[in-house]
Amino acid sequence: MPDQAQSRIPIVTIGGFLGSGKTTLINHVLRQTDDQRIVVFVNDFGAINIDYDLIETADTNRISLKNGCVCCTLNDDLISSLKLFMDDTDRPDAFVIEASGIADPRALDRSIALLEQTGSVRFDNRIYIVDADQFLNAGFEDAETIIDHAAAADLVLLNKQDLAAAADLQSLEAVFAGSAPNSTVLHTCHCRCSLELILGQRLSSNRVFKTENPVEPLSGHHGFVSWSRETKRKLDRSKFEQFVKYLAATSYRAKGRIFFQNQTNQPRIFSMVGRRAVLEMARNDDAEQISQIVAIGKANSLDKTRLESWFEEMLR
Amino acid sequence: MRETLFHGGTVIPVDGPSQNPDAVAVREGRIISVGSLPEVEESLGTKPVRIDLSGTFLLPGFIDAHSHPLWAAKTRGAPVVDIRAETVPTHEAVWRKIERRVAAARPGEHLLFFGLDAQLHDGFKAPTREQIDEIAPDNPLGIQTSNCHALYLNSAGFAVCGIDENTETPVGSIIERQSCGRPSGKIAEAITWQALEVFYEAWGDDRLNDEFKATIDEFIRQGITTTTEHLYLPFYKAYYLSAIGRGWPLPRIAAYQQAVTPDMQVELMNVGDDRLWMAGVKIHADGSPFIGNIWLTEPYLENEVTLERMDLRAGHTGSPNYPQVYFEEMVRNYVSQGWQMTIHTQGDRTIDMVLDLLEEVLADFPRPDHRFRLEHCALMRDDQIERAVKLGVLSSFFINHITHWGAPIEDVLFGPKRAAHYVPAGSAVKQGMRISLHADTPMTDPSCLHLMQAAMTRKAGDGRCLGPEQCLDAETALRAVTIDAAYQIGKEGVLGSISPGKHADFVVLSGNPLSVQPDEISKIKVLQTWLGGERVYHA
Repeated sequence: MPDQAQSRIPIVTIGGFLGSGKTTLINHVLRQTDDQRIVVFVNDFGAINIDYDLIETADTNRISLKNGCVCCTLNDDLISSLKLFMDDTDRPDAFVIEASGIADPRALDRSIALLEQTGSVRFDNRIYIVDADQFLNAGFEDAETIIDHAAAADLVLLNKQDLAAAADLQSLEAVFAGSAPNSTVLHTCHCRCSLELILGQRLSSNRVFKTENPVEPLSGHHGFVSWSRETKRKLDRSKFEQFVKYLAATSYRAKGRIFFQNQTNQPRIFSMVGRRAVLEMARNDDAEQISQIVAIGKANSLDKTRLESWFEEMLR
Repeated sequence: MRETLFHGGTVIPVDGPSQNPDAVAVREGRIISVGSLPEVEESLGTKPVRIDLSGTFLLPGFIDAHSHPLWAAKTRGAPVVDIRAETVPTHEAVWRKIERRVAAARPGEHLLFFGLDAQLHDGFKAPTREQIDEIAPDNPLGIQTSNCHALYLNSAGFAVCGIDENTETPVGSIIERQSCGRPSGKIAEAITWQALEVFYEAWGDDRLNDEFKATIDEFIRQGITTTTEHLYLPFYKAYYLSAIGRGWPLPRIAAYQQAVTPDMQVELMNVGDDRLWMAGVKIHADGSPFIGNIWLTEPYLENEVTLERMDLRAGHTGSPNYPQVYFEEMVRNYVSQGWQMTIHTQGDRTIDMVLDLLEEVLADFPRPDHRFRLEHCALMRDDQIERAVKLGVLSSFFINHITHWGAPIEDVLFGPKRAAHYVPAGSAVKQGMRISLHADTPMTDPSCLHLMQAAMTRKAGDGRCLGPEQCLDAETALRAVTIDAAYQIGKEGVLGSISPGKHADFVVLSGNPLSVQPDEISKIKVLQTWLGGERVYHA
């Protein structure tokens, strides 16, 4: 797991064919952000339908919202647009970028992977939306393109599940299980899913996590549960990495603030999406020195008992 | 008289006497002067076309010293289905894709899949003829490995290729067989490429021409104005002439004929003003490290990948492609005709054999400027580099092995020590060799900026660096895709640098590859490509 020198701004990409639901998802993100400052890049303003009373200012290629979020049009030079926001005194908590509906989202992934090497951003989550209702009508070429793109994503939303017949959904599920085995697949209507799956959980310095009730259903989407633990004991780095391997097998997303043995009082921030995990230095010290881990996974695969025992094993 | 003046940017001539020039003049497709703007203006008439570079960077057009543009069109373009691990992540996913393609096939349609990978596909299992028959009982179906050297066929595939229990295994080829002699599914090396031609032919010329155009456009988009067609076969000429005739922006092509024709005759060919010419002969001394077909002094590592997926025996050290006597006869024959030899060598034992032979041949028939080349050079040792330099033998390094397969090379094939010295471009340069770099398209995508970055950082896909002491500096890496590559194809007098008298082949870049961080080189954009004084690409 790479250990980064300082915390970077996470980037989430959203791909999918025209009409699959990308804009719908972005609207959800902008409305639910809570107090996070999210900067969203979209292809077309016309499609974004933001409530008038949410808008602070608007001009031809930038809409600022009252909740601190910003929505920009995707211009030719995405990289320098991102840099402008990174240099801002009010750094965003995350970037969300909509891939063009006709382009290969992997091309966008590649340019972000390059930007990641500069150390200022972190590739967090690649989301790909599939129109569950239309997929089975697609010809061979289109269907294969969708499958190839989905296989490169961390999270696949089989959207418009309400419009698809149950049997069709089942065969879709089988297609993606076999052909996009490294992606987590989730059924949605109108792209409704918990923001925590898209942007990741927030770690709270005032410790809202309850150790006595470590697994709780996630608001916003049933079928996913979260698990969390905290400890005052400092962790062994190699045992933690072992723990993360299991975590990756059982949950989709995890985040943590970790104090390691033999390291300064500055905690590491841990983030995991799918099978990718990184550690980076937190921006400020933490007087309390309590390590926290929170994970989200599917109810049928997030194995609470084993997570508990692995966590205990790690502390030993 | 057609004249063009480039100014307003940074000119990086790569070679030649000009110190920090800022302007270049072109007349009738050739460079006539390079220097300061007033100097250069003086060499021109009153109304040249002025190209303002607006602060960007003008370099000689890139040269990829070993690739296969026409063959890439055959191998990778539609209707070949891409199953490389970067697109299709696991062996099971490959299998599902094949099933879906078969379900969509017309009766009798020939189906080909490119990119099966024992190292990169999780859960890889070598397919058998019976397994492929089960999902494709009727359509001829072939699955080609990502290293191009092997092909898995079903029964209908064997039938259309005319390979059965009575087929003798041709010299330089492998046909895996059941005990009764019936082919069991896998064929490798030379016979692979003959079998594939059956599929390409079945799809017809329209398909090939469309894909060839797309491949040409891709090279030009990457600023590559000269490359090679290694493994050229005589019937390729028609496609090349047709491309030139239609006015497609074909990069200049140095053809290296495949050493398979029984009579060992090589066609003399020289089309246009350095557009397409027969440069020499390509011969395989060994095969691909990724299927175990290379010849080594130290065996492969032993693990699940080498023993199970690649099906190698413990202690496997491979073998050369041809019996040594036969190989020697071929090399001597082509050398006696005066051709430049480019010899595919990967394993160190193969390189020993080839250097022994070249030393003998050159003692018998001394040739002062032979420029014999070793291609790819995965496991070339330092003592072999020293020998090669003494003999005047050059290496062209397939550096993208590091970026694409770096992790398996170190972890499962050869171990850290050999990985740190894999494709040893740094050692070769230190010993004074003029090297070139190549992407071996279709094996990896054409891009000389990526080649430079790979040679300067030696970073595998997972970010690890393989052998930091082998990294090249920017200037050497740039020479390896311009003037030194031109030297290796025998055209340094007319290509490879911005110098008066040379062809006006240029690439205009958004950044300076000599000064940006090595990790950022591939981020530089190709803005324009010029071929013989004509702009053939504009971003």
